[in-house]
Amino acid sequence: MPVQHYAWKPKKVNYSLDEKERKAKLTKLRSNEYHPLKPITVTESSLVKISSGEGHASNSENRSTKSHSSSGKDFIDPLSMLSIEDPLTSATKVTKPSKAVSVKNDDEIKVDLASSDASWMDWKLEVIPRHTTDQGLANSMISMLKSGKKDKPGRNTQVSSVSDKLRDRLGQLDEFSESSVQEMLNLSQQDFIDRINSLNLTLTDAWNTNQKVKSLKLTIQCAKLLVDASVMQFYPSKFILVTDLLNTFGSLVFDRIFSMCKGMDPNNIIPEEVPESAKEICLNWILKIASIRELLPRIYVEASIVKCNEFLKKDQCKSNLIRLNAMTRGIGNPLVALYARTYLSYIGMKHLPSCKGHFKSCFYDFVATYKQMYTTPIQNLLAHQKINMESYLSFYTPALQWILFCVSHNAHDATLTEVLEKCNTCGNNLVLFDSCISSFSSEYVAARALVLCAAVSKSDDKLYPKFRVLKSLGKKLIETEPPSGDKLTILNETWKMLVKIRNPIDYINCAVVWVEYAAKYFTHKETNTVLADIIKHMTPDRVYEKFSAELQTVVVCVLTHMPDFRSIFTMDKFLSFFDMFQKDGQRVTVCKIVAEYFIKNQDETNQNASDATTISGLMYICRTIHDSINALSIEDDITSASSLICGVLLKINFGKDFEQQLSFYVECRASFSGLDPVCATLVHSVNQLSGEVTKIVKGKHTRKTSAFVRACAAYSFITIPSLLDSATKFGLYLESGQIALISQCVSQSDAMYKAGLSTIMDLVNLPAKPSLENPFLSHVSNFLSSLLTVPDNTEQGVLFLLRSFLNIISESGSQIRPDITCAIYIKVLSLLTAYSQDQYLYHVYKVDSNEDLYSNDPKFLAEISQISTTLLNEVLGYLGSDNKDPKLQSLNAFYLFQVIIAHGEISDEKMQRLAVVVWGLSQQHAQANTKATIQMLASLKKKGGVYKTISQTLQLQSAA
Amino acid sequence: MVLVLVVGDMHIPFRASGLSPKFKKLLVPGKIQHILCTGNLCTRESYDYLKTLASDVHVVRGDFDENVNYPEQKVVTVGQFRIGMCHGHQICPWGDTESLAMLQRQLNVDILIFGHTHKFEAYEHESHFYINPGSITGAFSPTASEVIPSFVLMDIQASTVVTYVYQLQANDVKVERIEYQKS
Amino acid sequence: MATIEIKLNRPNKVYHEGETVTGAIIVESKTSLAYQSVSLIAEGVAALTLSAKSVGRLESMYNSVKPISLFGHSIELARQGKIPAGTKSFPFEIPLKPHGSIKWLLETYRGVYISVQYNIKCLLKRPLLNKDLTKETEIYIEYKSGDRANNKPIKFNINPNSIKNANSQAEIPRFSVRGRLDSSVCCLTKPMTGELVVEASENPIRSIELQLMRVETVGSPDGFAKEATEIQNIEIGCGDVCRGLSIPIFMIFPRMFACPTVDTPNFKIEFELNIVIVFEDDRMISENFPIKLTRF
Repeated sequence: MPVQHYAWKPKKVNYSLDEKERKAKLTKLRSNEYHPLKPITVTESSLVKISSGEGHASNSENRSTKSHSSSGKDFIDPLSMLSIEDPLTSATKVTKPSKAVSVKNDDEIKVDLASSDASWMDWKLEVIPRHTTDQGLANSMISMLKSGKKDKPGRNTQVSSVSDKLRDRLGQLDEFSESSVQEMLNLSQQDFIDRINSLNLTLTDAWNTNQKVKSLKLTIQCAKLLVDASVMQFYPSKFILVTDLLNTFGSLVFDRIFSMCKGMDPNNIIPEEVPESAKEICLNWILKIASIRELLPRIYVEASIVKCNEFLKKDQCKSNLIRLNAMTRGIGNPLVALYARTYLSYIGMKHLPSCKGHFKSCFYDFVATYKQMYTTPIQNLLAHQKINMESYLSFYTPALQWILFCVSHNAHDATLTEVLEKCNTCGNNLVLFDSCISSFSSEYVAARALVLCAAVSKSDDKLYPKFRVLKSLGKKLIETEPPSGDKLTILNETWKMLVKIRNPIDYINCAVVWVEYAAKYFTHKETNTVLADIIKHMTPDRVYEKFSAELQTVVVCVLTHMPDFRSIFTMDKFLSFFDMFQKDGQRVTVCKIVAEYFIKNQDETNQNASDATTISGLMYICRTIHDSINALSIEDDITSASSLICGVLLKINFGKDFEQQLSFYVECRASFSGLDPVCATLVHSVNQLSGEVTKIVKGKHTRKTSAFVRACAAYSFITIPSLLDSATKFGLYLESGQIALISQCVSQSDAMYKAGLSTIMDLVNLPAKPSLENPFLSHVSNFLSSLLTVPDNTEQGVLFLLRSFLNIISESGSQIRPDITCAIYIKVLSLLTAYSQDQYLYHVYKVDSNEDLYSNDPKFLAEISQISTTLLNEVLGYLGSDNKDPKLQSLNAFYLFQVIIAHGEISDEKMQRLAVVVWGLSQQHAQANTKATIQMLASLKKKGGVYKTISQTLQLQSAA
Repeated sequence: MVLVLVVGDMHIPFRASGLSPKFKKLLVPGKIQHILCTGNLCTRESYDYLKTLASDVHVVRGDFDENVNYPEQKVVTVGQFRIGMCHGHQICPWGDTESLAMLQRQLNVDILIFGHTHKFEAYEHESHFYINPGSITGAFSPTASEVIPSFVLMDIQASTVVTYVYQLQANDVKVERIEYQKS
Repeated sequence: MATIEIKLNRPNKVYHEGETVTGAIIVESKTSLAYQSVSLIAEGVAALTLSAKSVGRLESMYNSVKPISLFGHSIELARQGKIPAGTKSFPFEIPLKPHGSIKWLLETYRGVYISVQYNIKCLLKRPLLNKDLTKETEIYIEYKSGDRANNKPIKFNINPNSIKNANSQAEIPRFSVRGRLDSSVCCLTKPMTGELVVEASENPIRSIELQLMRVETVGSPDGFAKEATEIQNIEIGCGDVCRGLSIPIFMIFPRMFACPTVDTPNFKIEFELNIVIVFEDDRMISENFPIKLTRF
């Protein structure tokens, strides 16, 4: 059905009247009036919420503990009963202060107990990975430790045979060559773990089936395993496994006896109130264990039940511990003896944390046997097993650290000093110093760091390397700052020793720690010296190649402790340091780390860098990152490199020195041309710069500023074409065009729009994510709306840009889908209507747009009218044609109808007729969105007047 | 009472480095239930920031959003209200009432939220409600270098929306309110 | 089914001469139970045996080796009656007094050749064709008074020169161990203590042990048999212990297997302590200390 020729008549709108009306409806709030984000009310209401919520939570907690005690067992277990009244849990809730005071003493003990168990667990988890030869093994042990004793009891009848096999294997170790030893070590370790596992199960099983003697025998058997220290590498881990089982046994015995003492506090057993029968059982256990023939199992098993002595006599536990401690002197092997002492310390820590002397004597006894390590038998053994003294001593350190941890726990400084003095008196004491330093509180160590330094420097390091001690010392000093007067001397002293370390591994391991010290407490000057020394040490024979991970850590240390990037880059050795990252990948990785730190740091401090040193440093970093990207780089690398470079660039700001900023961007463009996102960021930044300047001059440009904003526009204009992505390109042209206009660079703006137009056809086939959307149409709309502000260039003629645009569209032929072309034309109708108003909807400040240019010049209006009418008829032509897609056709017809209602002069009769015809077209294929149709009619009716009349006509038509 | 934060046009980091501390102080986590964002967050970081304020964040795509997966339009229902969202650069001309009304009908919503002009607006038109939260960072707009930073908070109670607009004028937060009743 | 049980009022069953053992016989039955009598017999016996080799050598002694009755007591708690279904208890009291010629009650002791035991046996006699019910339990006698342990320490030095029975002094590697036992008269209930220091040893040491020995002598005017056996062996040093470091000597006397030293005309129970040092090369050196045990 051919459609008649219609002319477009635009509706006149007074935008400013609308705006005034709308503004009037807003109510201004005075500062004391309520609004939802008002800070005071925020806290009030949230307070109410919190308190009610907490009340609820504590209620439910109470309920849960109650149900816990009532369910499960038919008797009230004294332990769980206690836990209900546990001062710790009640203290965490909100309780009456009086109660809290009365239970304070108990409270402290409990905290101590809990912390001792936690530290023991920490210690164990630290030891295992270091003292198993195989990763998998360590993991299985750790998981075993963590799962604890919850395993269900099961039977294992092969216990003895497994143990024989184990003994055989361990016994035969000597006969194997180096490599097979390693293998056997793993094998037997796994065997061992399996065995302990099964012993653990059998133990609880035997206990539960009332075979108490059997469980004792199993425990003894297990403790006996610790006699054998032939595989020293595994001994610390073995110790942990066995003592775990001993702890299980100890608590089984204790709990059984304790269950016979109703209503007693396990932390305060009163022997007089213990029933005779309980005492009898207790004594039986003690006597049975005291008659164990072998020394080591006797010490271990006695220690595991030492708390039971409390049932018999007050303070018996303490005296027994002291005795057991003395008994360890009978153990010939110093390693075995030390671990036995470690267990005693743990037991002491667990049951009698207040009894300090015991820990100290553990340590002193060790010191007394210390000379043993250098005796011929042990040296022979080490030679036989091919273990050097250094690694032999490393089997001691975990135990020493634990014992010293116990010694130093809540200890008086005098005690620590005494211990240190003691260490000072024996020879080859570096291992002792190392353990002391690692175990003592950092405050203590820091206060005496200088003395320690001197002691270390005097010590002989033939048997235990100094660097380990220095490393431990450094770590402590990083935790706590030494007295300010000592700081530099400490660094100097230490570094004197460090310089002498020959082995690069040892050197760098130690240096990593001390770099941190320097960076944390000193200025860039000292840190720079330290870095210089590292470079000096690492350069010969290109050893740095082997230590890139450590060197990377050095960089990170410097970055974390010197948040001021200016001082980082002031250090001339910082960038020289990068020369040691020879492999490209490494250097880029480190540069990326620096960039990340910089971005994060500037974000946090909300600072911007502007000094030349920092910037040149950063540019080096960014260039390295940039140069790592090539044609073969993967997408992820490109993205991460770009975002880091952009991140850094955005943080470089010269404040009010806009010219320098712009020249910096020029430099950046030269350096980072390979990365699209960086170029895009640069254009954005330059646009922002131009906008900023315009804002500051409040639209009144001087010659200088207007030259500057033109330079900005030029920058963008030159930079955009190098981009690959057409959508980004178009977006930037649009943004640059807009900002050029805002900055009153009208001709530059024109150029941008023209350039933009030249790329618009690249957008036709942009993929749309939700399939219903058409990104091309969005871009076009955005472009069209933007044109409303652009004044015509008098040389180019009326609406030159719009005409060029329409030409491109009409000449595109089949490149654009006909329905899209139609939609574009309808949009242009809206725009043309906006062009024909007396006052436009929006303007750019200080830029005269067309309405001022032409001020209702009839020629201009006629031009608009002519274009509109042409377009309208193009659209009508499309709508009336036989189309392949009637749905799109009717959608567009409905769209046109809406535009007629919205922007057409509906009082005009011809326009009314047009509206009715278009309505008809929209309904003809019965494809229209009925909801929208009904909405439309309703809205027309509401508008009243002519609109209502039309709506009646339309309704009739649709009904027919 | 449901609080819905309406924000948009942040343009971080290209046109602004971040939100004003005065606004940040107001926007505390746990207070707001929904966030409707009109787009031009630009980078992921801004989205993550919104996420810290409320877990329910809806975003439509602006012309400079890096994330092309945001839809151009979206309808969210809060209480009795259907709320339509669109960045607004697709509207021709930008912010034109009649053109927006067409979108409102198409989405069939009670409230239409849009942005792009960086100019706060909240008004009733043909018994529907229109909100433009402006730019929360005060980034330059397509037509102006000087923009008043603003955002909007809707307090939705049954069939009433009380809209509060927060504007940063001369480094002071000014609050205005307007009420809209659903007919 | 009925059960019978002897319940003593003292859970540890330890008594002293002159005391009275109190308790009850508890009969538990699901049906009513007729009995003829309920009686109780308590007796204490020192039993002596000879080792196989002694028997052959001293035939004449054989006769003298018969059990010596130390104590005897019997009472009838009830005569002909019927117990209703349920639990019935018959309380009893036994005064602990030695037999005629015996001067005092010896402590309970379990050795290899000599044992001193005190038993309480109860018997519930049933009418014809019904099985009697019996039950037996042991009580432990301890001295109420006696010699006191002293605190006189014994110092010792063990070195090649101190070894008496060595064949050739030259073969013994050089070593020197010194130490101290806190007392030669030890209280049974307290641990034996002391200290030991290995001052030097040419050969590596494998272990240092405390060996508690009992020496039991069974005899008559015609002759006697003396046997030494080990009661317990406690390791106080294992491995090549550190030189010059004081190692504690600590040993708890085992219950039952040790008792205060006994010297009667018919038998003797004595104790000795050996300090045994074993070297890596299996060589062994032992130093003997006779000790007297007391309860006080």
